[in-house]
Amino acid sequence: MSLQEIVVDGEQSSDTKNSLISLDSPISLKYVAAGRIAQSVLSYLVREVTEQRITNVYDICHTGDSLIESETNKIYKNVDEKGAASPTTVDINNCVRGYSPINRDSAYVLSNGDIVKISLGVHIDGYTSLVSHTLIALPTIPRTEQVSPTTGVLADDICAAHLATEAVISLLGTVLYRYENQSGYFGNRPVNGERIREIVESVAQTFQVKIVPGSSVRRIKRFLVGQDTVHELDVKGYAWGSISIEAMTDDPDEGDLKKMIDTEAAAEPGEAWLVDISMCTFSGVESDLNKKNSLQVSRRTLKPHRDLKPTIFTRDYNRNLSMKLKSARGVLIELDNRKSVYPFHLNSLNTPGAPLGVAALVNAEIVAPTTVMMIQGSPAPVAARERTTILLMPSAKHIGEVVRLGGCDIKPSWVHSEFEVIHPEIVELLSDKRAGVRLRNVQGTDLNVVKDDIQEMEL
Amino acid sequence: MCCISTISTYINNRLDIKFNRLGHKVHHFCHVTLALFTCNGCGVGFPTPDMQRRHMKTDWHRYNLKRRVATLPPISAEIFAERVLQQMDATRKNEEKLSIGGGNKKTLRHHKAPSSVATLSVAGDDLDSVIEDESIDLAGPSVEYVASNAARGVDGEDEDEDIDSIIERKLRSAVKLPLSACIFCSAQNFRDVDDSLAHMQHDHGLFIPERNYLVDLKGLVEYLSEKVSIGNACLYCSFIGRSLNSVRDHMIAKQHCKIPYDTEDDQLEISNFYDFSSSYPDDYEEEDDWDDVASGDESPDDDGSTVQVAGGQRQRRTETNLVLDPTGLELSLPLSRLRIGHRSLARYYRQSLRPTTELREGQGTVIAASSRQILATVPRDPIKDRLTKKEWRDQRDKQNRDIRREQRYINQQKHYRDPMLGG
Repeated sequence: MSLQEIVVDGEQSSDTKNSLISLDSPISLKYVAAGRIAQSVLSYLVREVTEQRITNVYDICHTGDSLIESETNKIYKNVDEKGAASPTTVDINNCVRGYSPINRDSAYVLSNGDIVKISLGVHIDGYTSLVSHTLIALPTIPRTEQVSPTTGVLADDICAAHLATEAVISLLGTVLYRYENQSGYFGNRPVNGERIREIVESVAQTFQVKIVPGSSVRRIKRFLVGQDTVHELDVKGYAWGSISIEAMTDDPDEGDLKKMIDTEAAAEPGEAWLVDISMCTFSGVESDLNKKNSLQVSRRTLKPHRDLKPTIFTRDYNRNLSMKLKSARGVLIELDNRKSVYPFHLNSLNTPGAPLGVAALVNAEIVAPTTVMMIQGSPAPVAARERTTILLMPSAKHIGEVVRLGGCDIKPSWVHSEFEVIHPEIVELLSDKRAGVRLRNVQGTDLNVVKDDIQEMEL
Repeated sequence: MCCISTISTYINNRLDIKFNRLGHKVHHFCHVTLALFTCNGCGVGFPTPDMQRRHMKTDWHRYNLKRRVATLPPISAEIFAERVLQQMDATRKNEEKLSIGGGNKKTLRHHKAPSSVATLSVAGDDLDSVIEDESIDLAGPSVEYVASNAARGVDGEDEDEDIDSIIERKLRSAVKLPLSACIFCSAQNFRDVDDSLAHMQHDHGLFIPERNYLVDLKGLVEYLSEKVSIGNACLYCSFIGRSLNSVRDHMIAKQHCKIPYDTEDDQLEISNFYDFSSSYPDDYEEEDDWDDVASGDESPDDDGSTVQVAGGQRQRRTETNLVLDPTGLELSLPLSRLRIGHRSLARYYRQSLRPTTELREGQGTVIAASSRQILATVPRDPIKDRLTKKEWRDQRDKQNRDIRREQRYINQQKHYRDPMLGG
């Protein structure tokens, strides 16, 4: 009884913090600012990787983190909580999430043909923008030479992820207006989790790829963007597998999912949504084993990485324990004072003996690790990931618009897939008109990054 | 024997031997009207058995018994009293003579003898010496005791002494102890108080507590010596001696040559000679409990009362304007800027809570949103709580009542069971 009361009350009271009224409102401005920084840093990193200026993964992550830090420090001086909403992670090939090395020597070095997924996040005062982009690390091609685009399963993967994301964004945008000359696709049914699921799964089916569990399309709020340690009560959208990968089951309709996410609730204007879709290739053997839901990677194949230990952690603020270990206490103090509710990287802690302290905290379940997940199989499957944050900005006068915070205008890798989207609904969503959805992209700024600065930061 | 014959002659003299009609000798006790219960040893009689018993306990009677043993005739009460007085004078003179000498053990032993003689009235141990030399003066202090006792023995007064008579007796036998004399022994040849104190510390182990706060050393020594010499009281325990020597012997034998300072009462006893005001904390303001009722000329200040005590002592301020909180659980003292909480909340004042960390926005949002833990719970409605609890109580009582009621009917059988048929 009381729980519901509080939740309902909280919902009503925090709506003021979460609902977007117009582009000029302070909340929207913060979102846009976060988006701008995310976009800038992401495009910078993508450029650096494609032009092969950075090959060591540690460098990529470190650069990303430092840039985010410096850029957020320049703006919103009066806001206390701002910075990286997620440490920059670079996942290669079959690694799905969570890889951010702690030292340079043991870090992975990119090689040709790697599928690189760069993920990062920026938040200002809790208003988050999370972005991810997949690219193929290839040697620089001089313009004179003609090289064919990448084909094969890699291409399918990347295309599927990209197109699914785009389609979902358009779909969510359709809530902002009444589609007048509707052909019956959008105005009739509410845009809810089930609908989104349909779209994404049809794209996956078309491209013959599987959806990686952990992908989700969900509404985000201030400070609540689907961290592992937060078990929110009413979440809109859809999640494949589970909100929490650890609690995943093979059947997405079971247990946790039903409780955690409300797939019936429709998207509404004035909300912020997170679109995070990962697709992966699969070998023929695996698809036979998992007949129930052949569009999703089974749990047996999505596993924690054997070798890579987690380096990203999130503080669980629901638990409070006094620790015996001095380093653990120090880390806790640092976390509570300086860190926000978002995941942090082990390197960002200044307390001496931080790794030991964090290990103790993980044991006490005060801090949750972000396990590095990978997909097993032979031949080794490859995953592609696209992630964007969008704002469903209403407008009184005219049709509202979708503000895309990052992940746009980044030149996708040159791929060519043999498959094509056929479903008319999705075709309409993906068309240039986007079924009438107005999309505004938050542009990134050119970052004047001086290499010396980075090296200084390293030290 | 002699006494018996004396007694018999006494009685015979008193009795008129009459002959009755039959010519037998009849002892006619016509002259002895009030003396039905007699003491043959002393030759007295009492009208009631109580008085007789009381007489038996007196010293005079005991002395007469001893005389009988020594085959001497008994003496009357008045003569006995005289003799006791004489003995007292004699022992006092003896004491004075002997105390002039040095305080060594020989004198001590010497001392012992006259003391025992002096206390003939009480113990009667060495009465032989008295009996041998009938002219010995008896000790003074006990005279009145004996005389009064003897008189009382006849009159039938209470045997227990009044405190006043004890005090009077003590005062009379008080030996004036000079200030620079040792309290515990008979050493007297000291130059001054410090010297005697040094001797007492060295030889008897006397330690004066809180020396640095002691203001009136001489007064303290005088008090102690008076306690011993006049009151004949041991400093350390509650022993009261018969005389100075007795209490001295006790103190030395039992090693009670020390000033008690453990309990608060002990400390208060000699507190007059001390001044502890220099040990008080700087902002200490005494409660002026001991204001003279007579001195009504205090000019009260605004907040409290500042009393100018004569003699240049420190100003004492009392808290008068105490403000009680509306809840009745807090008292504010304006002067010392203190707040006193009521003892019923003592358990809460004693609590030491974990310091609460202020949550930042992000943390607060996360915790509030999470299903596992709720920050702000619905506040308890005390009225509702009370009603719920009352309901539970009523339900429980009803259950208990029902159970008990059932007990009355468990043996009632619905259907008749014929015992013949195996019921």
